[in-house]
Amino acid sequence: MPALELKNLRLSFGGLAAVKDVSLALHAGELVGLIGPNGAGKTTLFNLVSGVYKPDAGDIVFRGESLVGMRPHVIALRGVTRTFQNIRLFRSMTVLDNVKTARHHHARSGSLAAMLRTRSSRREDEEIGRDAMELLELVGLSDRADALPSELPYGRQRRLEIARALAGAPEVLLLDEPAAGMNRSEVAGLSALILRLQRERELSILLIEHQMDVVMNICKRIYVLDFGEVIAHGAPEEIQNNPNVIEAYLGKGGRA
Amino acid sequence: MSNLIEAFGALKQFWPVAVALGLMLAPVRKRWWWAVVLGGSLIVTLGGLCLGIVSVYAVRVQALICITAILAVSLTFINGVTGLFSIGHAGFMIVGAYVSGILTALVFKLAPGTPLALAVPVFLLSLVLGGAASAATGLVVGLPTLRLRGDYLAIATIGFAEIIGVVLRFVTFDREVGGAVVQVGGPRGVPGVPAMPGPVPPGFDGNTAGVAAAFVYSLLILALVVWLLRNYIFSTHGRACCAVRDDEAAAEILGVDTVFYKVHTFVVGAFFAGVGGGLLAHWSNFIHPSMGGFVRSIEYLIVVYLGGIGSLSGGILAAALLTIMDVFLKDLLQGRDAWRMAIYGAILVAVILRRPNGLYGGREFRWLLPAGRRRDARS
Amino acid sequence: MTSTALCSRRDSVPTFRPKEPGRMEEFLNQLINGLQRGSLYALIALGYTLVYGVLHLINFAHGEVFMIGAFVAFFAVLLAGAGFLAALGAAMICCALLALLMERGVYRPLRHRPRLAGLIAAIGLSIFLSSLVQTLSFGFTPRGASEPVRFSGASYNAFPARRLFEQASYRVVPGMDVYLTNVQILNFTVSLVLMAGLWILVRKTTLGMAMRACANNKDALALMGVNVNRVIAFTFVVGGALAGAGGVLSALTYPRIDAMMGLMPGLKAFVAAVLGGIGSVPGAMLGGFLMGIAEVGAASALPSQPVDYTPLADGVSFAVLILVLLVRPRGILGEAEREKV
Repeated sequence: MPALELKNLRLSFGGLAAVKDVSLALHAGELVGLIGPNGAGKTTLFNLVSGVYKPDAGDIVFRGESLVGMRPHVIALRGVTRTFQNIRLFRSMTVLDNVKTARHHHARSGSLAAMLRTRSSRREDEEIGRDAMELLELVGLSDRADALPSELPYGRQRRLEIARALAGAPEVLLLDEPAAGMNRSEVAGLSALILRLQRERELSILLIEHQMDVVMNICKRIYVLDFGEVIAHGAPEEIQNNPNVIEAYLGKGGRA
Repeated sequence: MSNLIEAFGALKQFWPVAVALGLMLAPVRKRWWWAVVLGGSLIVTLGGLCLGIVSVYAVRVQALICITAILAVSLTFINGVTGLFSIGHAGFMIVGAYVSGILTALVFKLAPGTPLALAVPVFLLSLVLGGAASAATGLVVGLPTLRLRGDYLAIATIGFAEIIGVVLRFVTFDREVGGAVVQVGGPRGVPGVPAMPGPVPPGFDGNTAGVAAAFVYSLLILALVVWLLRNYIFSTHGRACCAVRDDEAAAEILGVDTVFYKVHTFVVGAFFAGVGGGLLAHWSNFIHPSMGGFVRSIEYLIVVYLGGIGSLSGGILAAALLTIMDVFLKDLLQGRDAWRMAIYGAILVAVILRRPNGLYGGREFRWLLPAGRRRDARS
Repeated sequence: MTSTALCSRRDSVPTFRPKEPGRMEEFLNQLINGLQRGSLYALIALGYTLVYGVLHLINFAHGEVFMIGAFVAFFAVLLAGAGFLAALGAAMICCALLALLMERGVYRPLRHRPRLAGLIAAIGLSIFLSSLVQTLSFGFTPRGASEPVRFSGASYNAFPARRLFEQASYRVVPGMDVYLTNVQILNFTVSLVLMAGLWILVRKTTLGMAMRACANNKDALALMGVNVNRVIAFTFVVGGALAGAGGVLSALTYPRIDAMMGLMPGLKAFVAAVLGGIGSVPGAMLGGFLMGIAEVGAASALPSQPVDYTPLADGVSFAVLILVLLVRPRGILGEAEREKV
């Protein structure tokens, strides 16, 4: 059974069909890429999985359970987290707190206990802090735990987003253009990080990316989306030579 | 001109406030410093009262400062920590004032003669019940308004506050006065809310003792409220609220139950506002629907923005400064009240234009912060 | 803090009590009153909706512009002996200028700040203006009078409606006791003329098109070479002028004016704008008339014996607001806004 399965998803905004009959499977431990020209509907798919949008038709199944109709925070608690195309870090919080916030659901003590600073709430808080620090070390940000996100360079902000997504202890991780705006060496570092995360934490990762070297190198399988439909699916080599894909990106007559 | 000099001179009697503020602003990072602040304020004021170097009027004003500060921190929590545009705060306050005042005045009928062992718990209970009533109001306001965006939410809170005011103008209660039953409430308000119960040490008259008691209650409750809120803000729940403020959609996607926290914030903020309202009712010894009106809400808003949105310390500072300024203006203007509101309006505009973080925005007194936290991170 | 000028007490709403009012006549008379009040709300609501459209800002101080319109007319008539049209013109011009000043001085510096900043500043401005007028207190000698008269912003002043018009009423439906007063006729005429003028402006002129484009996408408009600042300033000017006219008409109808007279009508007109769909010009007009009718309807439906419940009609507007925000926040004619994730 796949870790995450999208079945015949359909979503329209008014008259515009953003997603038309998309089916996709992500197996446990896999790293799958999702590519396509701008406006193809990739982020919309992520928003459907996250619960931001409700599909007009189709189903989203995670570990055998349908996610459709669930509130986004419940979906995150179930084990599906993500990063965002436009970085959406919590700007008034420190780097560490950003990660700690995503670990919020691990705290069992209620708000009254928090107000009274009971021993158990303090202990949990410390635990959250330790876990968060570990994650920062993992992505190489532990030296900047006290910084505000705006003080970080762009590439490190993206890493913070990943750390934050990991804080929820997910099984499925959706990465939305994590390498956007990065230079060559940063991209290499990011690819290594993603692979490492996948291995160490047994994550299933669905990756939206425009940078082809990332996608082709680390993804086992790739789905290509255009105008809300899957136009191709397969291993990187197959995709690279697929005429539909080339046409979608470069237009008719644009053979590489 | 002589008016001005006189008014300035009259400010001297508030020197205990200066002492308290000085203690609060001290750059001491130790957590036990709060005991110094609290103890220092109490000793200076009460001791000064006994020694005759602090005027009764000053103590009365200081109680009001504490009460205003409670309203300010509860409002800054709603607006600044969770980022909800709540502008009808006086509505929450007045509900607590009414419930608490009605309980002590009409239900339990507290009077100066009531023994303290009975009066004090009853009074505190009435405050808690007032707070609970306000919390329920917070629930009523928070639930339906969940989907409303910023400015719409603001208008909705004003609407709710106005509805509360309109309803209070109609609610009347029966009160026994000398064997006859009199109707109180409605547009004329409820007079005769008893003073806060406290001991009358030998050598002091009832009035002075009452004012001192009011100050002690207000200060201690303020300290408690600040402590509770501060713990909340620096806990995982506080972080969740800040996440809702910074980016609600992202917070939800990352596992924060935004619905819960938005409603929760209203409930908690309203609760404390209700407690403040109860204190206010017993400080002024009467309650009137106009006390919860739009203008009062704006006054609290001004305190919060001057102090710095989201900052508990800022709320306390601004409450002190604005209350003193109020006293000063009342002296100076001799009842030409409209100037006061005009100045307040101008202050609000000036703060927003020039110094949007207010006096202490994003910061807290050092001794309030948890260990190892940088001062300007707002979570 | 209850309203004064546009409050719902029956005796302040000029109605006519025919000797034996039939239900139909009562209904029609109240309908006329409702429409009249609605036209005032519509004029004010238009100002709100225009400004919200271009800036996504609730101009809280708009109610105060309305109030100042009434006062400008007050002084124009008493000091300068102006007639109705001159007083109206003076009020509209002054209010337009005031609105412009507000935009320039307060709202423009805040344009790129989060919305809450603008809202708070608007509230502060509203408090400042109404309080400022409240502080005014002086004596002056009206033209043609022998003795000075005291003017005090804080208390009610009698607007010299009778100097402008003698009250007269006309039977509208032959055979039925349904009346229109001349003030009401004037009210409707002026309001409809202004609204028609606005409609033409917004729909048929280039400037109106710029206003609509501005409401849609300011930055794109700026990139196309249009001076967005000027368009926004003009929007404020138009809104202000309309509010000023509303103030004069209101003063004619409810001739007791004071500094706080703008607060309640301002809030209610805002509700009207929300009801009709904030950002939509026809919505503001529709919402205004609906609010007026609803309020007058509520006031006449509520019993005044044994307990006078009519002040509750004030709460009607807020109840409407809550209802709209909960059920259909975009209003009747408004468009939904979607957040992009």
